[in-house]
Amino acid sequence: MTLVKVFNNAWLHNNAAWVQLLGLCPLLAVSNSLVNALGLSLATALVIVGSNTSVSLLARMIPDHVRLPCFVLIIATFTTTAMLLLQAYAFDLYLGIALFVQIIVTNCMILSRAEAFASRQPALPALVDALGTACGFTLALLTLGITRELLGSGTLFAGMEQLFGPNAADWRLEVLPANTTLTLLKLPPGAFLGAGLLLALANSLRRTAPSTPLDSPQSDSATDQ
Amino acid sequence: MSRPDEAATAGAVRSLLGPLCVALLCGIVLTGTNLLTSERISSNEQRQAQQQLRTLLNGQVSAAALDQAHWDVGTETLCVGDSVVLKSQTEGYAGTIELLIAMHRPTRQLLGVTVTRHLETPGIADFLNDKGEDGWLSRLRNRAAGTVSELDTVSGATISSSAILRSVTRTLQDAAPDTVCAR
Repeated sequence: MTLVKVFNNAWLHNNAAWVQLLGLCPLLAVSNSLVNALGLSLATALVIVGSNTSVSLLARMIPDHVRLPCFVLIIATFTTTAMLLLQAYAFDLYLGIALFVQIIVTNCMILSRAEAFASRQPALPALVDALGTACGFTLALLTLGITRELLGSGTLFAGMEQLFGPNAADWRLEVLPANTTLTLLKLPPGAFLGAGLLLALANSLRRTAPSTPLDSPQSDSATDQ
Repeated sequence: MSRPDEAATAGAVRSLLGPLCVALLCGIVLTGTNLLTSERISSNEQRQAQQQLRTLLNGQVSAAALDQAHWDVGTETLCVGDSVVLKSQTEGYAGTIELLIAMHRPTRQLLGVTVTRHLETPGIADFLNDKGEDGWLSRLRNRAAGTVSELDTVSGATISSSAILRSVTRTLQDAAPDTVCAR
């Protein structure tokens, strides 16, 4: 499988959120605003890139029967690293999404890439796969984050100074007047409704696009091996 | 020792060494990151605590007194000039709400209240995060201790807001800052 194919498979055909429906807990919980979604995407991307590459490099050292504890240890290490970096460089953002950064370690999307792909492949494809998966997850988080912030709060780019420094406070856009917003979308039920509708949209796009093969997650793991 | 035994021992050693090496590498990465970030993190935490005090005591005490004030580990009371800041917590709708309550010592008047941590429902209990002049919490500024319970609760968030009013009333009643701020 070429690297381009690996990448496309990871972000598009087997998009972790919209196709495999993995990692939904952070996706639903943190997507109430764009800045939260972006913060969690960055943390998740760091963890999956780090853990996929390390698992691939260390796979020969890890005995088969204790591989899962070893993978979890590696993922936990990168999760803690991501937490420390967020605390050091985006403290205010961290305070808002701390809980969901901590549970990246239990994100089955990351463990499944380590187990199904990285542990059986050289470092470069594992890295590309991780980048693709991270892009796919970021795409899912950002679409849901934009939808919920726009319709729930009527703003876009609010609170970006938490991630990009004081200058970014001006990026805030008031798109909808306050009395036309749907508070429901900021709340957990809004996350489920928004995610369901976006999933339906993604499904219909995949059906209508002729060039995209309708890969199921099962056929992906078969081609991986 | 026969050959199969040796092979088994070698296999056991290998399956022990592999995870050990992984654990060691993970430890090195974590120690390194911790060393690189710990200074920034603790300065961020200090700035955050200072910022909370500043919002709370805005205009009530001199800037010099504010700059000197910092929480010692494990203390619940902080004396800043004429005022005292008290840590308090109460059970809200979804979990513990942590508060900072500022009181003027000579008059025992309430200076202000700020919420430092809560788990209340986003969208409904957003007024807990509102530090502005129009927020519900700002109505708790400069009030006589006895009149706190007269304040209206927030409709839709009765449990959260009445828990705060109860906690503030109780804290002001029980406060004995003069034992700590002896000067």
